[in-house]
Amino acid sequence: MAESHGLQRVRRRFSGYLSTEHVESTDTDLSWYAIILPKVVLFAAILLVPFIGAFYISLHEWAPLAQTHPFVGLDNYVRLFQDPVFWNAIINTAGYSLALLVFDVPIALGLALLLNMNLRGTKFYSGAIFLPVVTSWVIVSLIWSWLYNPEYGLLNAILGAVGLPQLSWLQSSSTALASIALMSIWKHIGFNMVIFLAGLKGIPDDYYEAAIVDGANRWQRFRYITLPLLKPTTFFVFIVTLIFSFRVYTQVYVMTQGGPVRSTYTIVYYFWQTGFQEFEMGYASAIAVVLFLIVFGLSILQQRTWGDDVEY
Amino acid sequence: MAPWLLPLAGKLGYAGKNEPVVGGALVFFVAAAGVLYLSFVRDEMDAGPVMKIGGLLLLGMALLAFFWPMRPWPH
Amino acid sequence: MTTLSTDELDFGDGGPEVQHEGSWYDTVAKAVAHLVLLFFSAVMTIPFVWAFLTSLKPENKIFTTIRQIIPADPTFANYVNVWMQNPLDRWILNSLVLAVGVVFFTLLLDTLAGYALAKGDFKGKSLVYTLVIGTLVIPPQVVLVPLYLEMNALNWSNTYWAIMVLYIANPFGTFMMRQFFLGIPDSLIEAARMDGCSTFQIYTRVMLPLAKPALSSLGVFTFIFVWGAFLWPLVILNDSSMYPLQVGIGLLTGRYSSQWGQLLAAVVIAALPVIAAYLLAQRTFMEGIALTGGKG
Repeated sequence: MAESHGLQRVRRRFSGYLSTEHVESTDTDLSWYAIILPKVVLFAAILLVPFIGAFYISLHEWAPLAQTHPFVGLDNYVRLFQDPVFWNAIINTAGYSLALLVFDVPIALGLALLLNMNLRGTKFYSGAIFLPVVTSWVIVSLIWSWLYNPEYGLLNAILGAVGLPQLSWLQSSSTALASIALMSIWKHIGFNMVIFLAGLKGIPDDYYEAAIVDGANRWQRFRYITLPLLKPTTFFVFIVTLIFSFRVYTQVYVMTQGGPVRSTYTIVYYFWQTGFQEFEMGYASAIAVVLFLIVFGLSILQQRTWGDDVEY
Repeated sequence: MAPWLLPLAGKLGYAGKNEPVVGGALVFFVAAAGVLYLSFVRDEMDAGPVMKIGGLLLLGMALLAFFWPMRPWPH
Repeated sequence: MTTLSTDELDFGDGGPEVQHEGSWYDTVAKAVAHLVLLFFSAVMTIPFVWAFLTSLKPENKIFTTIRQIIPADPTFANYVNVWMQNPLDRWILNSLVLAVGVVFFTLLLDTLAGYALAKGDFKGKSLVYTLVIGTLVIPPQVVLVPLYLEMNALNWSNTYWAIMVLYIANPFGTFMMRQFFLGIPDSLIEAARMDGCSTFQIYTRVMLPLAKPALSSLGVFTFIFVWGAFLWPLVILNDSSMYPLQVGIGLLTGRYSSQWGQLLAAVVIAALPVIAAYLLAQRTFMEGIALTGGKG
């Protein structure tokens, strides 16, 4: 109870002044405005104006150094929906997200359940599993590029030792995206695991004690107490993983540069390519707007659960 | 906000090869001032050793950034 | 995940001993759990160990001694080479400037704004709150093109500020601090007012001291986030002396495409500070993620 300790300290300092009556504030609104102004200005200048700007630019043909930026209406969007590279990027991103949902979330839940058994060494285990989360994407991408090396990499050495056929991992268009997804699952499991663990710790022990008194076995306790009470957390994890995985970029840049033959193009990678390599900023903004619409749709799902506090 | 402020800030925020990192020193200094104020002046914070040492460390970082060009730029 | 208290997260503490089933079944279950956890711990750490061991091998022997896991004659030559040939020290400094700046200003502005939104009484409060919630759903990538043009127009494109503003503007911390401050009883604030504290004095004397646990969570999370930032710095910077570490290392791949020893040495140098900090304060790192994971 870290806060209550602080609360007591502050209470002690102001003891004698505690009143139940409402005290009229002597400050005007002005000091509140001064307090909130810096953040509001930043919101406006860095998020709100550029956000509206993205819609505006997406309706224009926009080269950064050009004198004029001709208005082209919805042409960028029409072009976008006829662009096979973009569809390819959407399919790749969706496939990547699906892989994360299917493998990452259940494994993370399983590990959280095991850690919640309070075995000896839990601190060590959770520390090790969480290690990739604190390391940056660039670092893990480089390390895994080495593991994926077809001739000298660890993974092919293991496959060879077990007698399975060796893969060319990042260098073949049929396995490159799966390789990136595999690494991302590895990096992301600890993240979801900790969120699940927090959810599990939030389930009061009385429930389990009562269930034990009633003679429920381990499986029944899991099925009838843990799972239902963990539902909001699970849903939250699904949505956050989904939103997060739609922004996949860094791994692709470091490991494959979108290749081989565009097999690892993702939405954000294509956005970066058109916007900051080819400097077709109007077209890139159209991609960004579509990305926003996708993530926004997913966020609505998240918002619905966010305010949904489960009382035990 | 004066119109000269933005270009000046722009100049401060950039440091080329082997130049003193003035903007960085500024950032460290402001952060150090904030942390040191909270840990030494405001005793309500009940600051532990981590905060105090961290504040001093930030002050050191500010000096380091200001006297940065210590080795020739590699080629 | 809507409660923002750190009480729930007690890693490694005993918990109630309700598993007094004591049968052989229980023992087997525990053994299996240990095995699974051990397996995953190994999977998560071996890549790091492998990279470290490779970086200790002399560059010309990496491919010939690939079957030899522990290097026979470990050397730090790769580290010296990559350090001498690249401005890694300056990149580390750049990363630290960005991380310290973003963490400091995020904590400062978000506690201020969160305080005003939770306890303030002023016209336009609900409008500002709507703004916070609204910007929460904008993926940062969406604003990059206009922000890039904006920063170029300001002539800020190669500065620390251009990178920092995007992360400081993130609304998540404001939202989180508002939720946190809502839980603080109004009677405390009124008592402080009776004591003659102004709105701002209440902030430094009551609100900040109470917010310490939340601040460390938000601070650690922001730090990891900024330390790993890649796309925006890559886009807005074109001077290699301003690169943060991640961008610098990420761009090394082209130059060192087959010199794995040196590349991995750079990777180890880049990973070490954060891993060391993590080992020292594991609990804070995990709480930081558990409480702020919603940012994604």
